[in-house]
Amino acid sequence: MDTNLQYSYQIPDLKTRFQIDFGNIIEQIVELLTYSDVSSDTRTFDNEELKNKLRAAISYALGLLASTLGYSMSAKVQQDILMAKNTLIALFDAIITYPELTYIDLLGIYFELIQKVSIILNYGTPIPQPRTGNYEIT
Amino acid sequence: MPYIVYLFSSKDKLKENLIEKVNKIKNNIDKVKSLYGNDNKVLIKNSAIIDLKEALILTLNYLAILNDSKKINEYKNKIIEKLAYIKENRILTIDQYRDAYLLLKQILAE
Repeated sequence: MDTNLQYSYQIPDLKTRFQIDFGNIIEQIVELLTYSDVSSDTRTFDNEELKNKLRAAISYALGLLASTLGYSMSAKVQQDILMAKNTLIALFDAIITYPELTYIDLLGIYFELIQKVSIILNYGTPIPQPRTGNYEIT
Repeated sequence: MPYIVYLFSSKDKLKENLIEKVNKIKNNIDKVKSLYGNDNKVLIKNSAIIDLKEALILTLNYLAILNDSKKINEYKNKIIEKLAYIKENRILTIDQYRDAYLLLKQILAE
């Protein structure tokens, strides 16, 4: 079987694909935060590495968010999603604009990222409903 | 399993994992106590520090998926402060280690 086709069979929806890609990058971030700068380990923490990984994770989150557009949502959910979008863009922008971001700043960004992705995953990936009722074509 | 599946599986599941990690910290404290008694100057490093960092980061994730509130923000700042301190110093006294454990217990009790 063609590899790409097999891949698409195994990963049937965008949410699952997102979980794999985003999950991998988050795992790398957690590993960097946990195992570097410990006396028993030779790994040293690298701010730039964390920034790059955070940028990648934010990009995935924005991709997931974009995939939710077009589904019908309540006004409250729409507002939450819009706020999540604005925050994610602001986080991405901050990483690029402020090279002097500290470890504490980056942990704050990581927290916000997880918070917003949680909102998107909770509200933002509804199953599209088939249209019902009569439509007037004008 | 990708980390996110574990991370966003459910608040209860995440809390369950967090309780396991916090118990590990408690075991480390008990071990130190059985070896050194009540000596507060005992230094904690290496794998016990990794256990604590794992628990702190998992708690950060746990707080992120709870509803946003002023209290959660306060806890988040305390966790980040502790992680930053560990990054700078690499070693904690048993008192500081216990202090971090109590913070994690307090968050779990919320």
